[in-house]
Amino acid sequence: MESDKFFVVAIVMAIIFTGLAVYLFMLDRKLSRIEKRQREMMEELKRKEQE
Amino acid sequence: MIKSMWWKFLGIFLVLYSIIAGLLIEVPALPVIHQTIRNLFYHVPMWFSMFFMLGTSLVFSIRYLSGFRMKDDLIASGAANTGLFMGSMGLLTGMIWARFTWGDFWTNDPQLNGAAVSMMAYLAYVVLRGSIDEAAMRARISAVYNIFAFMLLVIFLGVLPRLADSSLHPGKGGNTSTMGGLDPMMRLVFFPAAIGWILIAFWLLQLHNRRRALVQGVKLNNL
Repeated sequence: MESDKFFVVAIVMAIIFTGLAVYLFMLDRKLSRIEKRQREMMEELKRKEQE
Repeated sequence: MIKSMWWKFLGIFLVLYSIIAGLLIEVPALPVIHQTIRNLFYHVPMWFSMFFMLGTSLVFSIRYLSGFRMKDDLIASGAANTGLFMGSMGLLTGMIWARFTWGDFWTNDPQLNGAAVSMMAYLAYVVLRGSIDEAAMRARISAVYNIFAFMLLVIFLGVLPRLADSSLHPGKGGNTSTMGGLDPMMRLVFFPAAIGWILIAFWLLQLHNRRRALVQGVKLNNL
């Protein structure tokens, strides 16, 4: 097993997958921010309509 | 619970574990497949997550038909798309694996043909949705079709390969080895891998739906 150096491949694949996961997390947080802003805009619209 | 982050971390952790452990554990020495048996940890979870996505799609299609809420239609179509993506990954990885073990990219195996037919059924779902302009009509017709497509999926991937005379896939017709015969060490990697990829698929589905809900102005509430 040691001479196969399988662990090098494992590390490379783990790094690639971690990179993808980080990208997904950033996407997730960005979406949350946009959702929040949209909610705030809707509330503001409602308030203006009531006035 | 769905809004929180912990299950996303869990999915990443399980998949990372399966990548590392899947390469490092000792696997049983078998003829023909040799070390490629490790593909079990990466190829099969694609199909598992496809089943979960298309099941989700079915549930939300039925929910749409019982309440006619656009939110349910959006989730149903998003799940069908995510399921198609996972299924395509399963097909591509399976073809590579088959090329180097069974000798050809496509063998005349009931499981392979069943997978192709059911993927076609879901591609037809996407085409059907694209061909109807009126939103309520599109939602209703595609929801009804989705129930039919899931039946096809179950029959072609779940029933027919098991009834077939011969299949190269484990647990299917003429092939005695099943998941029950899986090496105990490999189980410790395979099941976490399957759960991890299913969680990742749900995450992809959630991102997909949230983006489309923002674009279309549909309220998703807690999803």
